[in-house]
Amino acid sequence: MFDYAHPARTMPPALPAEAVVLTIENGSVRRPLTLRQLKALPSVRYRTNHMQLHQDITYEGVALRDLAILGGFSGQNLRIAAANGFASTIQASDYMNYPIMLAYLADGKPIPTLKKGPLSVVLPARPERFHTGTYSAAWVWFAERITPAP
Amino acid sequence: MTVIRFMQRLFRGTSPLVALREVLLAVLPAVLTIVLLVQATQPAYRALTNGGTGWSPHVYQGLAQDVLEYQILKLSGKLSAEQLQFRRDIALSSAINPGQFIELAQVEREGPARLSRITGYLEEDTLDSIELASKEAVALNSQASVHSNVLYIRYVRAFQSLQRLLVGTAVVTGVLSMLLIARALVMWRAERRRRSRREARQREALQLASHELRRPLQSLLLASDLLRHADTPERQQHLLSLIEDSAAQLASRADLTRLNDLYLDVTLHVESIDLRSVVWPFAAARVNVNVPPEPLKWVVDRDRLRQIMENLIENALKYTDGPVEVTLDEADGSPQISVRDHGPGLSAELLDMVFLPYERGPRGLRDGRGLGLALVRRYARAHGGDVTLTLAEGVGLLATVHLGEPQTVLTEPRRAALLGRE
Repeated sequence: MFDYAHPARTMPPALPAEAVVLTIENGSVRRPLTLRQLKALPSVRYRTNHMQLHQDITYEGVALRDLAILGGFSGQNLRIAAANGFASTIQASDYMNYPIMLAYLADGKPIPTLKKGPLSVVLPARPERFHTGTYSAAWVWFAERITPAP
Repeated sequence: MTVIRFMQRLFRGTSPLVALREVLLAVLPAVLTIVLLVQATQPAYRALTNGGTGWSPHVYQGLAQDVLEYQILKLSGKLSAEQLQFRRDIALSSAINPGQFIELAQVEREGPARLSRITGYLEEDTLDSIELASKEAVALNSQASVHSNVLYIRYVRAFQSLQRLLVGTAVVTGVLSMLLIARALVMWRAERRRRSRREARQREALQLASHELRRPLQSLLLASDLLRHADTPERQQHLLSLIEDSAAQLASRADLTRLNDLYLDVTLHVESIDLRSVVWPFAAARVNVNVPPEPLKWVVDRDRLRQIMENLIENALKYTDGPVEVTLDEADGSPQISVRDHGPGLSAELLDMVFLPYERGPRGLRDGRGLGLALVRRYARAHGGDVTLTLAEGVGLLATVHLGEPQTVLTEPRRAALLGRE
């Protein structure tokens, strides 16, 4: 069901001065990831209309399902926190069945902060409900931390 | 397919238009319910969806939070220029994107704060401008709260209206369903009445036929019996004529395919005949027949007129013991036939009732089923006349049949008589 843009690549080690862009936490286990490490994970790519920007953009990023597998909490609801303090829960039934991603590229370029980057949760064009008010909070901007939902 | 087969069975023998009407009436409550419910839910649906399915001022709160946080971090001086830029861009990413602010125009109408001013202050990026941006963002958030209250009232009204319309829909469809059920009951009862009437008419026709077959049958049996002992050719010939006539009468009265024409909605086979030829043969030992010397021609159904005479004369003979006088004459330009007996007559009450089927004369006098006079009246009226029953002067009962113009709508040309008799 998931159409990968590229498969998993060898995970590069973090360089000493390299910034951590995402932290996956599961209880006491903490997995910091740099952007290069994130890009080494298998990626998905699709075009969708961003619910708040109201633009059709081709996003590329890592499926939340793969991040949950990496964190060891696959199948559980996710809690994604943003740099501005916002946090939202993504249902397991949604991210396990649809390629909801943590995007790092928009139209092939890094996502600027002014466009809700550098990491932003993006939902596919289908099903339709992903673009209704019920799911508006799922489009987490400036995402920086993923944990299993309490 | 099962539904189609069921419908075909249900409406077998029904015209397509009637079937279509019944199907439309049957689905009417469902269609009406759907239409009314869709209409009823539209205002509430619009109120909700226009406000983003339960409009929340969170996006305004988020902006105020981002701007305030940026102000605090800028004032603290703890972050690097790059980190500060990131924090400012977080706030700016919302400020430059009015599309993410649902009902922004309405929120801005609630007060003086404007999103565009926040954008300007953030872009200016001085301590003073960021302070102004914070104040503007907080003010805009307050306006959003006010607007949220307005929306709350709108939702409540929409739901109240929805509630009223749902109740209204239930009442309308309920009443409609009751009316359709009542209609079905009325139709069912009408159909039951029609069937009952049809059965009663069939019964009546069969009883009348049975009544009218009795006399020619008796005559036939009697003549057949006498024929065995007839000693002269003339006598035999006479009896054979009687048998032939009785058989013809039986055939004329027992056409099961024409019971309705014969006994209910009488249809006559008319011809112009000399009425004397019908009346005269009834002369017998106790029956005196008086006819005019000249022919009295009139358009009648010979067989039905004969049945009129048979019934009247039979009644007179059956219920009295004296002579019976039958007279054919003309009154006011049309013929009339009277049958008079010399019996005890009838009470005024019975005189009114004898023309109803199953009302017999003085009870217990003779056997009878009370059908004869009702049939006499039916035949007389089919001939455009009537029959009256009055007490004769002195003693006895006088039955008078007036003949008129047969009603054309009930008249058809006489068919060739059965058994070769014209």
